[in-house]
Amino acid sequence: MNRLSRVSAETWLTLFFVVLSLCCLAFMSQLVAESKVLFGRSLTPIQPTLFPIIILSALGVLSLWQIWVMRSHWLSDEPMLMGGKGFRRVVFLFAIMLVYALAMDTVGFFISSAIAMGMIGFVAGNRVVVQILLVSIVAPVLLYLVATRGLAVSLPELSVIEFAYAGLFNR
Amino acid sequence: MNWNKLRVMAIAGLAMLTWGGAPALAEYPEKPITLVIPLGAGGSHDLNARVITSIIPQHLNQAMIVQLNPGASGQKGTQEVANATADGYTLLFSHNYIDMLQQHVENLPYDPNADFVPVARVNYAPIAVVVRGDSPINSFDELIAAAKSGTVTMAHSGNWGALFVPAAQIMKAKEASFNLVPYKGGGPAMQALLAGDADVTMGFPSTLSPLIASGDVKVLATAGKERIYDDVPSFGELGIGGDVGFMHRVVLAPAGTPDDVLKTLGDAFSALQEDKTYTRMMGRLGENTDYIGGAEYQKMREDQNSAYKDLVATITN
Amino acid sequence: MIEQFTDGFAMALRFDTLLMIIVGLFSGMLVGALPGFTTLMAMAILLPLSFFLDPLVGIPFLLGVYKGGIFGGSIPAILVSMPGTGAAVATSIDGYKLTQKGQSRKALDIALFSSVIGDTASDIFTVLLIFPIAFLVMQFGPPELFAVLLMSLIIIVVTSGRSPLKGLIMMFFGFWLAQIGTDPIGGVERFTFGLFELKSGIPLLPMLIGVFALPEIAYALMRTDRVQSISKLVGERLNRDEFRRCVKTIRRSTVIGTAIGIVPGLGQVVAAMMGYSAAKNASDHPETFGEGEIEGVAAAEAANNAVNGPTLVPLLTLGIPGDNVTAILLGAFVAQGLRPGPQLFEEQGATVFAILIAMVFANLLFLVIGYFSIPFFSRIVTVKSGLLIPIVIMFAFAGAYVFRSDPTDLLMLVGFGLFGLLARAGKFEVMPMVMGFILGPPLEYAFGQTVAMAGTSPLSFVFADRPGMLGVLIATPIVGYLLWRRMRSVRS
Repeated sequence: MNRLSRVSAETWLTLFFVVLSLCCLAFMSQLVAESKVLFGRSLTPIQPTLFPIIILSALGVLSLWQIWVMRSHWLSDEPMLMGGKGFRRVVFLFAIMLVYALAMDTVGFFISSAIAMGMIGFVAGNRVVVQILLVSIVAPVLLYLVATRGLAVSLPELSVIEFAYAGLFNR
Repeated sequence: MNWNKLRVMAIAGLAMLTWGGAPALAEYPEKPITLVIPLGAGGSHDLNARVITSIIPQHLNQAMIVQLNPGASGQKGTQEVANATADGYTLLFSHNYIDMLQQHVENLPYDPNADFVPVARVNYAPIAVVVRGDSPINSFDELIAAAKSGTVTMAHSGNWGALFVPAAQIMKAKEASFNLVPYKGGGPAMQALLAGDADVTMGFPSTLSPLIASGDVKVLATAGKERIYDDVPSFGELGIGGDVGFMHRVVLAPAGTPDDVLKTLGDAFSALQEDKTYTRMMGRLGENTDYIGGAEYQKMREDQNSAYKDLVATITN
Repeated sequence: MIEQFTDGFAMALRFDTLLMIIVGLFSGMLVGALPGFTTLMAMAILLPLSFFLDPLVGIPFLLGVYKGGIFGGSIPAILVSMPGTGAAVATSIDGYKLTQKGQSRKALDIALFSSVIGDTASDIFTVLLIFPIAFLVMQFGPPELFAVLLMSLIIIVVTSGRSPLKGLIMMFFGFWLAQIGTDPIGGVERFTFGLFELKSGIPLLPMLIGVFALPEIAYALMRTDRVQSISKLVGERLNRDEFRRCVKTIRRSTVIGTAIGIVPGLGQVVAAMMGYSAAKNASDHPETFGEGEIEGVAAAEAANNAVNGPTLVPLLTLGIPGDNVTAILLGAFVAQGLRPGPQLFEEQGATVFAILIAMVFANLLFLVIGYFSIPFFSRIVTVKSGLLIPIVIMFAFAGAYVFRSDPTDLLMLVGFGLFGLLARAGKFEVMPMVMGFILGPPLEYAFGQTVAMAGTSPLSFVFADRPGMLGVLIATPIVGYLLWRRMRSVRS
């Protein structure tokens, strides 16, 4: 168990490439659809599987070679998931970002951004509550207005809030 | 934490959201409308849309914003509108090849017939078959003869696109075959013709006029029954019948959009046709402004549907 | 012709033209500085505005937006390691390292100067030699593009990073990532596992932000107990000696960029990376590249801007836009009653020259605007991390969403952030992966086109019709080997 946790990131990543290439090559026919046929001739000059086969084979060969090249240091001195304060911060960061990514479309840009920014600010070391609140609320509003009114792009937002913005301008 | 208080707050919040989320549609449109384009930036569709969205706000009293949503040959943008709320604030600006043809070539995650209702056919563009100015081929018949006896390379803008489909239809009607080479759009295809990489290609009049005038290209045939250029035969004369080689630009709304909303939109689009700035700019783009209302175009859609179904079945045997 | 040139020159010297250029440059720069809000988008939105302006005001305005936007994209690339385009990736390699060393102002300065010099030189070159360039452009078709792309990829991988083997692995991984979705020619689904979300493939911008910006943020959080700011210093401005050191690099990159601009289909990304690789290879201290070397920034920026001049040539001489930006310019031209194409110079030569000359003015004006804007931008890095990081992440998410209006792109963003972190921990360079991702599809497409063109007799096609492609293909392994040997010898 101890040895497993000391497998280095380098090793994990190289193994990932090996497994990826071999699996995709093995299941190629299920993964790549067939191209249609026009008047009895294939619609595509090269088969859709041609480049994937070349590339995955190269990837497999090269990553196996890499495994062999680094055979003397598959394990590192410290465990990869090292723990400690810094590590915990990064875990929190990614957890918050994951929720942000899932929530934005459902609760809209303003709410998801405000909450995410508040929490990330805290994780990043900011302890001044006023600053956190101010930035988390003002920044998303400003960006939303610039993006939708100035640049005419759309960001997901709840109807309520959209009508509120519109109301702000139609006064 | 006082749970009762929390519950009251939650219910109040929920009530506010639901009430706020469905205000009475007093006077459509109350907020800007989004026009989704399922194609990439800079194409002729995008340019058409820019002209439309810069002028129609005067007739709708609200802005119309273009949202480019390219991907999966137009399916991404189309799906987004199919799934959008049918309140008239999300529209799709598409063309007939994406709208009616694709369903016969791929598995779509939506049903173009049931999920959409047309608002307006904004304009259409007829295709023309062209060769280089110095090409030994001087007529459409010579082209077909050359294709039957040797190899004729045709540059097209992508599988099942606006150049490919007419090419396939010609191949089927005349029982000849071209060597089809794909390019990323009409522009590169034309460039390939001029560079000598291809023998023949197709184009829309808007792109062709300067090249015809300078003699760099010769037109061999044009779509439709009637001639567009005086000395160039039409598909109808050459024995290629049906709705071949026309790209119709159409605005679609999700099915279930209220009738009064559709009417407001339709009125705005037809008012656009009278707008002098609009016609002037479309003229400059080389596009016509042949408007057909939603209900009338729906009949054309249904015809296209069955025609394309037959076409795909025949040519992909 | 000369007459038209001098007429055009006089026409361009108008106050309203110059004013609108300045407005355009400024707005373009601001928009470009927001990652995810691409210059292309800004141009497309502002296009209708140009319809209502005089052609000599509206079109230079759009050109100003464009040029401002290119530099604008370099700003987040340098300051927070958030490249918005593939071309900015090359800039961020050394640019961000410079920022971390407390030299953000120098980095921005050299980026500005190199951009302007590269762009101006290539614009002047284009204006003077527009017809020979048009002829050259015609000589390049899909077979040549395929060969040149292949050679570029080999050169880039060999000259980058510490371990070419790992670089190649990441490049092939990038190739594979690009294949997820539909294949570029036939449109059949590949590696989508039946998921509709994957049908249009993996989006570039969320990948770039995820793989370059998020790991930097994560590492910043991991470092000290109380995270401060990216750097307390912005450093001094670029001084004359440092600039003089870069002149040779800028010259070389300008030539490379202009040459790449002539080949249709290559683009800014290839130019930036080739300029960078060439500079690294020609330098007598290649080990400083990637650790904060201003020559690196200069090389990338000069090259990616030098592409712009020749890119306009097919548009002006044939009326055919080569990419999305020129397509928008086409719309602007056409709406103004100018018909780009073979007759353009005969009928409206003076106007066209006026516009081209206005373009050169735009560059020079931008030098001034950029120079005075840089102190403001570079100060961003001194903001404390507790405030800056949440704001940067908000921009990252907004930009990732706006790119394709697709919420799954946000998940991709986070996913690539994790991958980028893992790659850094495992000492795998991300840049070859990004290059493989960007250049893989055009490579496959060009190859497919070439096969289609060759038809039934491929050998005679290659040897008789396309000697250019053959030449480049043969040269590729030779060049690759020579470069690899040089890199090895310098490293030891």
